[in-house]
Amino acid sequence: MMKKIKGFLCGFIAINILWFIASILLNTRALPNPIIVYKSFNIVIHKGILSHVAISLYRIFAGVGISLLIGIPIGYFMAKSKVVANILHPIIYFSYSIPKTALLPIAMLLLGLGDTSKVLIMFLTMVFQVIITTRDAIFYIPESIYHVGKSTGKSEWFLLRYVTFPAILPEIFTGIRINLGTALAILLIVEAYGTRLGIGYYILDSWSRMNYNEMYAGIIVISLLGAILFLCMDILIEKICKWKKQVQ
Amino acid sequence: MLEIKNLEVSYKKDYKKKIVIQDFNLTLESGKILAVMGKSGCGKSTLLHTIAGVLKFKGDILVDGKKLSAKNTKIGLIPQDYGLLPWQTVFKNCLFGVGYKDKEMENEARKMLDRLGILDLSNQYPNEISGGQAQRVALCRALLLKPQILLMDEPFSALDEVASIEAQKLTAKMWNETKSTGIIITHRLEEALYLADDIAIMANNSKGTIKHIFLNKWKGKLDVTNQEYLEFKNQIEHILMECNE
Repeated sequence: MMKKIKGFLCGFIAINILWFIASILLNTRALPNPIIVYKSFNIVIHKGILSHVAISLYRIFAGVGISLLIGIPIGYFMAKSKVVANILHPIIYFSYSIPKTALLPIAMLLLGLGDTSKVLIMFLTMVFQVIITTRDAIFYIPESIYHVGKSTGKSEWFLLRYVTFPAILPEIFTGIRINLGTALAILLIVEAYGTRLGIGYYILDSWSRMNYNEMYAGIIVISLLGAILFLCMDILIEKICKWKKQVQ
Repeated sequence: MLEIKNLEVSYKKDYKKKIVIQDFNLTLESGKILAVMGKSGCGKSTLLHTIAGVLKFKGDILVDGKKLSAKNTKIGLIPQDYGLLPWQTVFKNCLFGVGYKDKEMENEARKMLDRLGILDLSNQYPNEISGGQAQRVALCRALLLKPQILLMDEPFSALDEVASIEAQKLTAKMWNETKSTGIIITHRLEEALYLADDIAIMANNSKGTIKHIFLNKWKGKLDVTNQEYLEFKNQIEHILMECNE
């Protein structure tokens, strides 16, 4: 873990150095000196950037949470039942390729400008990946493990609890990691309209007001948010999937 | 006693019924071990998985006169890849068959692991142990069930010769103590001769028919150079080659 934190810090410092050099070379208001941006953090925090972070986190967790709650069971039944797979496969295959952010106007028309439409877009962006990850992870579980369980009369619930679920857990965690990155990326789109809260809104609003110091502060905050979420996921994976750590 | 009467096992492929085993009959006395040999695809593993209660079948499988079912027949299965849970420690893997709630079984598992010489590996994960050690974990898991029927699907095929002989000796020792009725599938004749009371050769007719059963009087004997033994071995090899053609 210390290695990862060290790596993260090295990357952070390197990017800041490059940013510093670029700001001197380009000498433009659009790329301010990082030192000035960091100095403006005091004002930025005072102006309530943390409440923007909190509302964005709520939207991210709602989107990721609902996509897991719905995606994992669908993936499970697709892997276990040919009938379910045959019915759902064409729908998922077609829907997977639709850029979900393009559905934002429809979501807003149907569900209003509030959080529901934003969470729905996040959910739609992530749920297909959760379904496919779960389905594929179940396919890769060796049949022999189920055979041993069935030969000793284990129930479907026992096999789900002790075989299927732990087997797919690392893949689910990897999926969540990817989804968190996706969720952060689409924050800028879903928070561009119909809200005055959220880190995506904060960046876009600062940009439209040409307040570049605040815009860069917002970008730094969203980047740190991503890094912290990734780090939390790594800690969770190490704690829960100890056997994966042994493989690594 | 294990009795199999008019067994038929089939599966559907592209909406067509494919019969793997048909009109199969077998009687195996309690405590006896049967080695099943034959060409790949002749139905050996299907037979094993059917007896294990994994596959649906027509006909009768009786254990001590009662219909076989995973609920009321204690079956120990050791698959070819041992079927260990990669996310569980060796200790927890041993408990997989008997369940995780019985504290008494935990003590039994420790004793069994100790007897198999792998107690010190209790907290290791399957990817941290050797093939021979994994085979012992699978054996421990199966023996903890105190199985009426012990089924092994090429349990030594992934091991090198030295590890395989060591594992066979240990398996034979434990098998003698549990007195389980057993079926072992193997491609190695030496393994069959060492472990089994009877050796069955399956025909290569895609129906899972037993072509020949040999009574083996060389069980438990390794490195035999006796002429009679070699002739017996040659005889079985000859039948095996015929089946492979």
